Amino acid sequence: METKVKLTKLADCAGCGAKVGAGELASLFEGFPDMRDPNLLVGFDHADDAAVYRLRDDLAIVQTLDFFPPIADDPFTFGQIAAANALSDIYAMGGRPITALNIMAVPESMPKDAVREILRGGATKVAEAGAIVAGGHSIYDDEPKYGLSVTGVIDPAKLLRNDTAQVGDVLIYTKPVGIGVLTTALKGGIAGEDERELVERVMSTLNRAAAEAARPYRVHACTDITGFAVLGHTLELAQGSDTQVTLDSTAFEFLPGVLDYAAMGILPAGVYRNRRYAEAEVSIADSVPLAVADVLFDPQTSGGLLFSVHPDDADALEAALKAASPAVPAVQRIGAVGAYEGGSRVIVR
Amino acid sequence: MIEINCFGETCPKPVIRAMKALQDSASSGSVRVLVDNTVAVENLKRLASSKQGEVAVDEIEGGWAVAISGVSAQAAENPAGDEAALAEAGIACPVPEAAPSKQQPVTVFVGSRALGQGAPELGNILIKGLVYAMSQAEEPPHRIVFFNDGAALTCEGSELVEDVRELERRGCEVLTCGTCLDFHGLRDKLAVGGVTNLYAISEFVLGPDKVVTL
Repeated sequence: METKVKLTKLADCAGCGAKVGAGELASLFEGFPDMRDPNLLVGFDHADDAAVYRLRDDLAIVQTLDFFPPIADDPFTFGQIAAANALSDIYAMGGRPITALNIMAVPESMPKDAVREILRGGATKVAEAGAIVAGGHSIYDDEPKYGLSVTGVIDPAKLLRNDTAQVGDVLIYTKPVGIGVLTTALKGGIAGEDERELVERVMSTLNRAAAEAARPYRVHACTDITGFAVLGHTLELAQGSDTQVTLDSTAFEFLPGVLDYAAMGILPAGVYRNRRYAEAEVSIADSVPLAVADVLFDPQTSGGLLFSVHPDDADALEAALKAASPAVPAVQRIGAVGAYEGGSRVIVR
Repeated sequence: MIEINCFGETCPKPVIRAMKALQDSASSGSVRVLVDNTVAVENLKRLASSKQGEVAVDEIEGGWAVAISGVSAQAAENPAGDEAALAEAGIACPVPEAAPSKQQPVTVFVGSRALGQGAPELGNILIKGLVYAMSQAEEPPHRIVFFNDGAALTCEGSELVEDVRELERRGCEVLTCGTCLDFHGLRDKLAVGGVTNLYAISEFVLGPDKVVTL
């Protein structure tokens, strides 16, 4: 009998639910020794995408680590997605990746060529990012996991944080939304091959082109939208910047079928976890359908970049982003940053 | 009301199974789904609402019973999906009961707790997946016979019992070798199907069915 590896069958919940909730994370670090250092520009105390440590006035390193269980059945594709996702944090900080280390867990019984394909998928994306795989570490585990620890470099003056949005900024997002719902529908066997091809292409698309296209413009803040969903990551941006963000629920570009699947309850566990974490600080208008709200809480494995840009540069940035990522045409102007006037930090209309 | 036990199952399986059950004409638009996690409860509530049905949630030991009712045949129709993907996920749609059988009937022999050679843990996962897939197949096997180490699969403590019950419910004859049950001291632990012996088994092997041994 043929035993072709179907990776997602080996994972409990298709990568969708694998991330520890944001609220849970914050409480884990309470009471730890003080890790402050004047050169640590971004660290634990910020809910940002990566750590940034200054080496010289004009040079800092950006460090990040990301890994998860299979989100795709095909080992090569899974490797590509995991690497695109890990590299994304470097781009979200405005950095340039230079080296990457593999982190991997595989069942002892997994065929060696499947293991090799996962690593090859990762290496291909690291090469596409212009960085190199410099090593790694692997262990045996019943549930496969793969990801990378990536180091990048940046001029501290050009650092893009997620807590520096300014009142008046326009929010632009670069990938279609609903990745977690669509991968859950695929796992359930109710979405087709076209949808698989599309969502895998979206997830394996590097955020490099978007990050580079944004450089000439007055981007005040940036983050990548991943496990904590559109609303979780937007909330971090609003809270960190002490602003109030208003999102236009009709401006989002959703992956095909996603709203129908969401309405039927094809939702990964992460939707509810993100909802629990963010709900108190997010107010959603009654006119927004439940399915739309659910998808805005949907974890986006290897999602896109969210830019908070000066309003005068918004049109130009939008055009530049559209030109930069023709493979994933979903640049959306999703909302605006306003002064905090009490109440919820994020308002969805 | 059709009842499906989804204990131990995470997203999206309980919703998909409930969708398929509602599509079955025997459900009369109602299904009771037993689940052990709140995510499944919330997802099933959304399913009920999208099908314009009623929903009632009761706490039961170890979880919840979510009863969906009043779903019209029209609302029970599901997106077509992709047939290959459906089959791959082991969730093929049941055919209408009157559909004529197109294939030669199949008798499946299961002689081990693991499918194929290699790591036993992997083999366990594979046999569980295959039995589940067969229980959801368009044409379930005519008969399935558990023998040798495979006899444990139909006994208390086996993770396959629910899926084998589903096979039985869909008209598959489920039998376990009595000699094997006695050898393993499992005679009083049999949880699904009947007991058979080697005379009957010889008839199955020499009879008209296509015989497949796993």
